[in-house]
Amino acid sequence: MKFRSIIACSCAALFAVAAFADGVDDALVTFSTQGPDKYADGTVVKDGENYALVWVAKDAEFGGFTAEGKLVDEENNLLVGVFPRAKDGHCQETFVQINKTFADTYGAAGGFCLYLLDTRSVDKTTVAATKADLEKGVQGFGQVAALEVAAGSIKVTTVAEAGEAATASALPAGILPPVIKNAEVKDGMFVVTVEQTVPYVRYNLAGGETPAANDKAGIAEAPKAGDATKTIELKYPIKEGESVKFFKVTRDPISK
Amino acid sequence: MKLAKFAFVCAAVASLTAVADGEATSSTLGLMKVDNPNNLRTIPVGINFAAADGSAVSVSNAVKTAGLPEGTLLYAYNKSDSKYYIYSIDGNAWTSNAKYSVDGNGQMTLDNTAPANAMLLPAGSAAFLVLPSTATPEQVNVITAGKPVDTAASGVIGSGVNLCCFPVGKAVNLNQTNTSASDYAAPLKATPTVTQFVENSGKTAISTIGDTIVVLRSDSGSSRVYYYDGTNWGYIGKASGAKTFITSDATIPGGVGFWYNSVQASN
Repeated sequence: MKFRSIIACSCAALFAVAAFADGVDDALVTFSTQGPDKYADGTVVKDGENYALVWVAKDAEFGGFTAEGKLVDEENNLLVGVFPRAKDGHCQETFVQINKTFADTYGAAGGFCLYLLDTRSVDKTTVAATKADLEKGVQGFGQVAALEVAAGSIKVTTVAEAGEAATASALPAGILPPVIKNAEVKDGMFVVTVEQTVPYVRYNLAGGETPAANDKAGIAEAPKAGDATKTIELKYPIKEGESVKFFKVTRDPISK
Repeated sequence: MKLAKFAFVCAAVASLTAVADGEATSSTLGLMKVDNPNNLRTIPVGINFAAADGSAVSVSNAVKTAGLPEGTLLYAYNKSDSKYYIYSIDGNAWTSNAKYSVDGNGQMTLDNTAPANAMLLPAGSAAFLVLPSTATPEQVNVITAGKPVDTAASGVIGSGVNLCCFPVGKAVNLNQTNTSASDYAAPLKATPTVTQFVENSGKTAISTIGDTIVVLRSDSGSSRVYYYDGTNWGYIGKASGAKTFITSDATIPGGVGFWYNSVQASN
């Protein structure tokens, strides 16, 4: 089984499945990370942040999450659960009791991975605490541990540090691009009014010296969550001698 | 301003940078800051964009009225009838105003027929803004909008004054040697190595001694005139305290419109 290397966390992971537990029909999954686990922007994971336990079929790759917290590839991936277990910069020791038949069947047919989710709010002060919160915005994710369960044995695989940027969560199919409703220069700010946005995606400005506007990402004063019911404003503080002459609205970059 | 003939055409509307399904990316905005615009009340605006479907962008969508003084006029050349179409800002929107034509002697003939609001400006064309004399802003911000064009387009430089821009929006060093077909470097020199901007009715070179290019300097509101000496483009400036012909930084910034004044006979 090949796991895509999309590591966002610098951590050593401890992840184990014990095929016993308190009953003949149950298996106990335990996992934790040594930490510090980090988001793609380099900050240490906030307390209460969520980890996702995912099963991936053999010979398949993890397809990632959508911005609504759903699996992109629901045929070859299975979301076992989401656990708000981050504290003091790592995933606390977690015990999950699952059906043994499920563990044996899926363990033989694939493997399990643990992913740190980035569910921070726009101002990055809170993380998703409920299922509804998760559906409002999973901005990105990074693999922190992988596990293969061989027949009759337990094999723990620790994911090495990679230092790569986390993968941005996928946008649901059919999502419409944001539309610029208005733009003006006001009080030293280039203010862009945007419509056709969705609440589970953060938006930002990108800019450059050519109309491609791709020299610099994340140049708005602050990213904004979308709003399906009204327009949002993104502001760019104009600086003396600024070379940025072209702008476009993009998804808030997961890594700056 | 003498306008003997305006003959710049954009022969190809280039392909677009498509927004793939599922990507959260908008169209693009251009922001051109012009300081001290009262020194030069006429501001050329390059059209570097196309409409969302790849066709030419309309005047009203290409140049935003936000930040422009009430009464500002926009002059756009319509090559289909060889007339300038004039629009004015009225209540934060462009209102079609009038047309006028310019004959080979620079004589203007006014046509009070209001032009279509949906006049199209293909990427690589240009328009110019004329600020009202009553407005004395310290700075004007010109905002353009559309979908970026990523493929070079051909153009024709005709005899007389041509208002144009490079459609892709790259900065262009007029004296740099071309390295690829999509490179706009040195498009106007005597022996260009790529075909862009060479379609001048069979002539092997666009530029002739005596040709000039006028570019608005957004930092001062004044303009810089580049001259062609048969080999290089340059401008008259000071170097080591003495006036000299400077060719080292003969660069047109990306996205700006400029006037090309050709002394060649009419094509």
